Amino acid sequence: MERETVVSDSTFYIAFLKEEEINDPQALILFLKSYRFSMGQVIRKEIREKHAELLEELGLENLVEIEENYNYAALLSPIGDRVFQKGEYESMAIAFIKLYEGALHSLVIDDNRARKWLEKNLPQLSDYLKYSTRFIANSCIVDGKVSKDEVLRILQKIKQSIERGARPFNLTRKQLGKVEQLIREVEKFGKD
Amino acid sequence: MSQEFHDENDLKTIEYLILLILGKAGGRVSVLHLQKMFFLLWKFHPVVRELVQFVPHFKGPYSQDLQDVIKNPTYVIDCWTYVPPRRGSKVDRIVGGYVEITPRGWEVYRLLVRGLTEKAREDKDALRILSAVDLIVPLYSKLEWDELLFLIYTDETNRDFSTRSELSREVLARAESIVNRLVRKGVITEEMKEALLERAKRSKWITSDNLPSKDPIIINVPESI
Repeated sequence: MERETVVSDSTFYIAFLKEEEINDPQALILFLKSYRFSMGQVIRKEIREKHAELLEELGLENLVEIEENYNYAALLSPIGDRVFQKGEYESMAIAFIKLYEGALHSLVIDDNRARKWLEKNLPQLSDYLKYSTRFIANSCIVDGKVSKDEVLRILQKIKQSIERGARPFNLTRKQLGKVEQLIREVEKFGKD
Repeated sequence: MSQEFHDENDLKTIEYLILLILGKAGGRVSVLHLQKMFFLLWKFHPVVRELVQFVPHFKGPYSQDLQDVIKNPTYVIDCWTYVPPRRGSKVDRIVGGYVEITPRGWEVYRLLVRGLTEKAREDKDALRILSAVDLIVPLYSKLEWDELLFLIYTDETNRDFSTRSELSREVLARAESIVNRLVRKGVITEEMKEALLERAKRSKWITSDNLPSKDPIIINVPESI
């Protein structure tokens, strides 16, 4: 089986849909078509709560494998300290099972608390754990699934959104340098 | 629902699942831990939900079916021993004794894992059971009884199953000590500590309807959230 399943927390999806953040649903669709994204009931609910109309309009749910029959969140739910964090633990449980299946490509989580917990308790997933911006950059420079121009365009949008004071993927102005570094990395790609 | 009403295959599945959890836990696990880990699998997997019933009881989520099978397995025989609580041991009494794997149990466990791994290539349900056991057992089996109950009781998604526990006040009273131990064990990170203590304070349901009863309430868990 090809390792192409991406499991992500809701922040990845929401950043593309939110007007004050990346505000580019088509870019999200591009990623959903380039990989096999998988989500559980909690993540789906989190996204639907804020962007139900947009989800319908774009048919986003048809582009994602929705794990409806299993309540993944239940497995690690006792650990998640707040209800809104259950999505992250649901993503970890799905990723663990996808890893078992030999299908996991990436687990995209931006929350540092959740990442730290995972590295301590589920080290098997550490190699697959990525920040959203790293995943976006790698889609071009490692996976060759999204074009360099497209990735640069998205990273610039992320940068501009942070400069405007928004927090796509929980990023703040403090992390602007990291986004700029990624932009340089992608710009350099293919030149050597 | 009691054991006598179980379909033969259902009963075998329950017994093999117990063995799977037991083997993954290193061969010895308390009945309390077994009940709670089975409960998480029950919430997770539609096939497991068909096998047993869980109800709110003296120690939180509890299955009488499972209790019967732990003490008197019908098909997976001589694979584990039920060790009753030692007289005078408070912890043993709380955890309800232990289940210990036998040498034959290890043999069957290894065959079971091999068989399930083979089956999991074709069968999504088998894959999910096997991997879910691998995910949760190492995590929850290393907890002390009060750490496990603290996490289960204060998790809002289990609130309907945690209202009748006779241990809830004791567990909540030692919240700070439990959370500190969880940090030391690495089960939660230092950054999660405050939020978990807050979660405990918000968990009013644990003690608001604290009426242990011999007539447990039956809750139907929805298929989806």
